[in-house]
Amino acid sequence: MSEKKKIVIAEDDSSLQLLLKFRFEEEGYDVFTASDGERALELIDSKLPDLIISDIMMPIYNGLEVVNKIRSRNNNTPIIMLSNAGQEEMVLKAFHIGADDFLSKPFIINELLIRAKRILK
Amino acid sequence: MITNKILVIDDNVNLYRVIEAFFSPSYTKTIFSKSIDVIYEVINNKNEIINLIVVNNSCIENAKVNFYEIIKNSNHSNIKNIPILVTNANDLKLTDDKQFTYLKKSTPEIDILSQINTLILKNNCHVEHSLAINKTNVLFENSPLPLMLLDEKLDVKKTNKAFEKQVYTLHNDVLVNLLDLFHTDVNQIKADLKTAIIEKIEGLDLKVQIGSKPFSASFIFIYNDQQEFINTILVLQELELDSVQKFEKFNMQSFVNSSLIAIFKINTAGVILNWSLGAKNIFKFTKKDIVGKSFSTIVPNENTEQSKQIIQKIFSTQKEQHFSRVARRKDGTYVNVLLTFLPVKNEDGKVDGLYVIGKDTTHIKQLTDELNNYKYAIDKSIIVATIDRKGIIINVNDNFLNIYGCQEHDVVGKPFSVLKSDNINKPIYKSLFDTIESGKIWKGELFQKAKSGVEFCLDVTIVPFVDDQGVTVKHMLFCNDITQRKLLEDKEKENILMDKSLKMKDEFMANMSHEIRTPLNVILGYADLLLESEMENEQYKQISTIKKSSKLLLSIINDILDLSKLESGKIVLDDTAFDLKHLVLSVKDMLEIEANKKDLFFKVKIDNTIPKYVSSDATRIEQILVNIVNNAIKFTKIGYVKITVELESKDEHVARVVFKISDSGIGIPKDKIDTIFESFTQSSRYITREFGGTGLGLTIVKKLMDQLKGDISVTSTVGKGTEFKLVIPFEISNQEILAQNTTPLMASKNNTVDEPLNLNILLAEDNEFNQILAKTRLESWNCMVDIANNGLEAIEKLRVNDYHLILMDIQMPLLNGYDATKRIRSEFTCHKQEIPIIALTAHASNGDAKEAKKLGFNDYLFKPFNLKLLHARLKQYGAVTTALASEKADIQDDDIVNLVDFSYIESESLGHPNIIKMLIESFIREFELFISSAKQANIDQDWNGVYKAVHRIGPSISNFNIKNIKPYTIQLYEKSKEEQENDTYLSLITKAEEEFKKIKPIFQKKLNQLQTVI
Repeated sequence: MSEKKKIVIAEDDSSLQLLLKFRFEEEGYDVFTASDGERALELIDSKLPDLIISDIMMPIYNGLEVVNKIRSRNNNTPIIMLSNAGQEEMVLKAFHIGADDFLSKPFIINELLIRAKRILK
Repeated sequence: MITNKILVIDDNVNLYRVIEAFFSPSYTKTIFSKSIDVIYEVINNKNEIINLIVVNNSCIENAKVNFYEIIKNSNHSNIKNIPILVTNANDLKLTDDKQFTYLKKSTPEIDILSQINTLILKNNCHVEHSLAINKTNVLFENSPLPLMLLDEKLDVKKTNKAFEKQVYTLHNDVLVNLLDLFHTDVNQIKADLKTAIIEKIEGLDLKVQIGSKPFSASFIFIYNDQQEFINTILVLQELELDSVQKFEKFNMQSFVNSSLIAIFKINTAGVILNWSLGAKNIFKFTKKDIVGKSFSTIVPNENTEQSKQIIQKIFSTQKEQHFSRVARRKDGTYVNVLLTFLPVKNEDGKVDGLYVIGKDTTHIKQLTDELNNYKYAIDKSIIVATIDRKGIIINVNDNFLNIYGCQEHDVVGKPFSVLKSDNINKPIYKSLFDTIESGKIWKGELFQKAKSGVEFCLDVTIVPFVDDQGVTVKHMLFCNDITQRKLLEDKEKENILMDKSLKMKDEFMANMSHEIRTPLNVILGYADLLLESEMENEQYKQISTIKKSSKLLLSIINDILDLSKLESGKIVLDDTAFDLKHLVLSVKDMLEIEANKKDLFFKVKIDNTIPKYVSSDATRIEQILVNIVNNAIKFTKIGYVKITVELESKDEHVARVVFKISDSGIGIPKDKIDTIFESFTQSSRYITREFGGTGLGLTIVKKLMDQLKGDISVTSTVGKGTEFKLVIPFEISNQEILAQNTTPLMASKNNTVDEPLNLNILLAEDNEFNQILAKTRLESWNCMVDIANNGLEAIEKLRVNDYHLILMDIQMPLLNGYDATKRIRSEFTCHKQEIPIIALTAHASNGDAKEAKKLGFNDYLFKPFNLKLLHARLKQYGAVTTALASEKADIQDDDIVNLVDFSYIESESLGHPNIIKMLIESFIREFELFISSAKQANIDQDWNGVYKAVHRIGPSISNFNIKNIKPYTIQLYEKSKEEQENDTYLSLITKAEEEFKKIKPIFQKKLNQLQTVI
């Protein structure tokens, strides 16, 4: 009996958040959602997820700050960034500070599911 | 040189030495002897002339011989006539013999000497006149006795030092009328003296009083050798009082020393002779000031002479007299005094003066005056009566007589109880008597009856008057007439009761209105439903009957409630503009069918001169016309019913319009015609039985006409017909009105009730039956119906869903229809804010129509629903919404559909309808939020805010790939990125909003579709 993998999704777009939660739950994950960076960090600290999916632009702390904070605590949980068009520079930066992967919007959720699966292996 | 020889017989030489020293040896020789026996020598020596013998009484008593006998038996003329002064006597009168003079023991030596002097002088008649006079002068002046010399006319010639001294101690005045000092009649004294002189009497002794002291006044007459009267010497000697006199004097002293009572004596001349302490206190004059002055001093406006006369008068009556008068004080001020004049008799029984006793009555006078003033004030202002212990009336004042309308003899002497009204309240009287009998004051209201029989009410205070022992002597009643006040009080009580009962009635009616109508509506609604379903003819007839009866019942209830409201004055007339012609025509439409059924000729003629739009209560006007026309049709078996509308008069603001409704009906009998407008009259009952109806219609019409300030009149002939004439003043309205808002009855002929409407409707209604009814009805018109049980639920539903319109019941729990609508109009944005809301109200107060519009309703419908009307309204307002949606663009439905692409969402949500629904709803919310926050940010010049808003909505627009909105949002995004002011922001936002309105129905549709699947 394998435990359910836990995922924290940090995304301020409510529609996307809803969709992602639905899809990942369909896949059998335990999903915890946050609409801002601060809440995301709280969830990460409390739920100790196996994977973090985070948007770059968010209120309070943005995606980069979240990555930074996590990595500086020596937390090596895999992180996938979601970016908008025109945020390439930020994406690169994210990689520099420790993000593992990224996906630019709009995307097919299936693709995200595949990447997630791969990282968690 | 004549020498006086004095023989002194005494047991010691002291007196002898004094005498010897006192009298000048030139004139007087004094011999001393210790024994009486020396008398023998004097007798025997004829040459020895003795002028005076001074003998000590103890020598006489101790002698072996009787001194008196020796003197009496002596032949010696000298001895017989020698004055003998007996000193140290026990009594002053041991013999009646005038030869002997007695002096008490311990008489001062000076007195003895002066007595000796007197006796010598008395005896010296043979002395030479001039010498005598000289001697007399010297002796006179030096005598220690007070002496006064009077001439032959008995006027005062001179007085000696002793006299002046004596009198000065009593009185400081000049010696002019000294004789006036005596408290006896001076003339009488003079007369007595004259008599004495004529009779050659040696002297006259009088008892006189100077001040308060008694004196012996001895008048000594002096004759010459020829026995001619020369002059008179008065010797004053103070008398000692005996013990009785002393005691009296002491008492008198205390009496006289009273500080509050003035006591003084006046003589017959009116002269004040003494003055007490009290007199000083009252009149302020001191003794010095006033003794010797006339009584007139203290009497204002009176002179001495006048006073004298008055005093004489009092003297003459010899009786005690009292005078209350104003007296004058020393300082000129006045004082009220009560004077008592007491005639005083002397020893001889003659009135020689008046004692005056005075009392200051100023204080008493003041009190009396004040009391009188009080009495007068009370007497004049209120009703006063005095009754004795037994309740008998002792006296009454004028006010009493006035109010009881009687004379004094009617009431005085009679018991007070004769005056009581027939409405006597025995308990009051019992407590009254108990109270006053226990000596307490009683206050209360009494009903009384006047002589004329008129009843009135008094506010009474009964006060007991007690004597010093605390025993009640009498009672006094002080009363005020409170009849008026009581009447007012009663009236007010009545008014309050009436108001209360009216209020209760209104509340009752209002409650009943709702309670009665609700079930009736249900009955009618279900009856209608049933009638639509398949059934046997018989059943159809039965249900029709149920419907008819229910309708009748409803109209009766409505009439009753209307009438009740009209009577309470609770009807508030509406004041909206409407098309008068249109209204009349719609009345015609309503009743045409009925008229046609009876084959009656039904014509309406409306004059062109009547104003197009008027401001009034259209519903009520319609009610009036329908009522009258209905009656006309009802009571006409054959012939016609005509309505004519004309203009009677018109000015700038008001047009008087005449409505004539005439028929060829059965007519109204003459004896009934006057009462047709009254409710529950015989004629109305008769009509009800024959022709049906409530019989209240005309009453309501009349009352409404009154409120509209119109006139209504009837002319009728039995068997021929009736004509009703109504004149109503209308305020002319110049406003253009939207037809949809004002026509009360928009029953268009082409309306087929079965036409499907295809609307999303939100029904807010709390009654379960009504919910089902309405839902069923609406669904039969192919509408989608959401139910909300109260205002809160309605708002919630509106938030989440979208509708074409809302049917909003007014009376709901938690949040009523009024408040829910208010909130919708304020809390929502975009089209939801303006969603058409139709109020559902019971046929209640007319204020609702106006209120409805004010509060945000677009229209209102009465329950139970008139199906035609309901359908029409729904169509009307449903069209508005859909019209808005497809306002500008001539876009076909297909085109619009292509603007939104659901494929991404559908595939990403794996086709789950719930998820898709949630996403669509979420998007709609988010977009509306975007519009409002972007607009607000623009107003606030918060360019960053604008950017953020459009940034947020961007992905969603992409998700649905909304083609018509995308360009605007992209533009807005690009521009607002600069975070600078740009006047294009608003127009872009607005454009996006407009485009959204266009495609929103697509989402709506989608949701509906999903709904069916879920």
